[in-house]
Amino acid sequence: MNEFQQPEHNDYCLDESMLIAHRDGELASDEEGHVTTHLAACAGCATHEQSVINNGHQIYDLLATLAPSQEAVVEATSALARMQTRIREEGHEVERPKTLNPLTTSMARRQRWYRSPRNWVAAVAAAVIIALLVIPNAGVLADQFLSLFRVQQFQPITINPQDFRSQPLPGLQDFGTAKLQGGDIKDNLTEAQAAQLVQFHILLPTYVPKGVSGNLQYSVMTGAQVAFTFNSSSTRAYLNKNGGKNITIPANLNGATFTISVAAGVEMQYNGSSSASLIQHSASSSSDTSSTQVNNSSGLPFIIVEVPSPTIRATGTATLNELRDFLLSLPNMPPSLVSQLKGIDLNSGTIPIPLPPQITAQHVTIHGAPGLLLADNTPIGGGVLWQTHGMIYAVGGATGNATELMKTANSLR
Amino acid sequence: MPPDIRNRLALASVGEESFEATFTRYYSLVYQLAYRCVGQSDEAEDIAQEVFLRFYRTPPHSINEAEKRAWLCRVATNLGLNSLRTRQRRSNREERVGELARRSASEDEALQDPEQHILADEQAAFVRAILAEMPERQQTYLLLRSIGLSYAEIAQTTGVATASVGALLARAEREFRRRYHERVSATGA
Repeated sequence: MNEFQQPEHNDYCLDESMLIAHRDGELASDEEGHVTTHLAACAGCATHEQSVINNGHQIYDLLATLAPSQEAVVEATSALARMQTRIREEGHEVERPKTLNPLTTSMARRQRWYRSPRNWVAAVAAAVIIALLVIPNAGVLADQFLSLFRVQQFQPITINPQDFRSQPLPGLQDFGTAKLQGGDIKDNLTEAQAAQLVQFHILLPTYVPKGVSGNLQYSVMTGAQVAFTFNSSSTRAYLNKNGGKNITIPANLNGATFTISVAAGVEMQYNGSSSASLIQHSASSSSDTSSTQVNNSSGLPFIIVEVPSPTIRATGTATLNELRDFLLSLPNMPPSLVSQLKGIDLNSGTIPIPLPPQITAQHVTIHGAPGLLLADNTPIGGGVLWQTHGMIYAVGGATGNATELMKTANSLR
Repeated sequence: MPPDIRNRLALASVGEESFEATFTRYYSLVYQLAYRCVGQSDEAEDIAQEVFLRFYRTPPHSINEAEKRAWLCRVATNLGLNSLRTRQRRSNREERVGELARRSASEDEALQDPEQHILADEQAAFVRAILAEMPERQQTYLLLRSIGLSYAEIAQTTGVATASVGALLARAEREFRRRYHERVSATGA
């Protein structure tokens, strides 16, 4: 072990994140009491605490050298005067993106499987549950009975349909009950209406792939909550039917509940039937013309989705690790899949994205945030998925042109 | 190590207010964040102006004061770190010299010990170079913490759970120390 690794300690000792939160005065009173009591009795943790304090002094003293000197501080009043002058000179007004006409119908719309609220919410719930299952041991989440997990980034994993030809993957309903609240979809909205229904600033593209044209149609997926409760009886019935009679279900899993919450999100689709060829909005930078020329020749389906990252709260009598270990031990679970899931560095928020072999995934960076560029090998379509600042963004449609997709993703303003 | 108390005062919540009031209230916070990233007063001011221009042109919808503050911190940090990364790709020695040369006479007169000030500038550039090499999220956590944001405020700015901030800071601090000691060893400083 070198000095940059955490010292080894037993299950009862305090980890570094706890000591740092203690140092920073950020623990809840009950946690603080526990830490203080432990430090008084454990010489190893007391030494570790001193090290954390000393390191903190060193780090934040160094970072303090980045602060501006007194002479370099600019007065807010003079800065405001300059700002007002700049706004006047550039003729900026507080603009909103123009309201665009709703779409009546399109081929792509019929193909959007996630337009069913249940499909959409179930997909989110399933994805987050999968993430929960593979959260690595220890850490701040796994050892707590009450945890909060927020999706932060994505990791592709390959799912080979051949592996499940004889034995399909189980669904949530095989292990318990899932109750859905909310998750409605409101269609044919104007941008202003959509903006009122979501709690974030809707980003718009200043560029779209060649062949994508027309007006934007707005839909809002209202907030939803799924409460999944593990049920040992249902699970036993599933195991008995699927070759898992010998598998023991940990008693404390029964009744464990996971509540997945997602706030309202927006979906925007380009309407290829419109004659509009110019999309104007004010989200682009001050130096450009705030407009984007759009090719109107074929009207390829193309959508943009913006959704706050789902969160999941785990309550009950079992730890997340126990649930994860149990589910990864299920019969007929392909070893390659288990290996991939266990190999993911989740880093407190990575979520696996299952992909069939014909879909290729490439790690990319969009607006400085990690994301995935997905493309069909044929290629008949593709998309980009990324997360930043608590939001999940996706753009995609009937184009497999990676450059065009990336350019579109990076143009969101 | 205690966070900057002056910044803490700027974080007090207020109700609905005009753009001018928002600007006046948060300009110092935004400027401080930008300056810590780029280390140059003119560039930091440009970034701060850009942050508020974006806020003016496309104000976030229906957000409370805490979310407004988080939005401003987020955009300031993103723009500042982008600028830092861009600049770090170039040799910035000349820029540092240029920055020193640009200092006004009044600033120089204010310096009790110019030599000490140059050393402080070099120290800051050294720290900034370490920061620039780190993963972006870790840069952000350290910057936000160093200007005095609480764990809840950091969580709101970065979109993570408050309960995760301690662990994320621990990782960032460990990485910063590792890189710092690597550089110190390499330069024989």
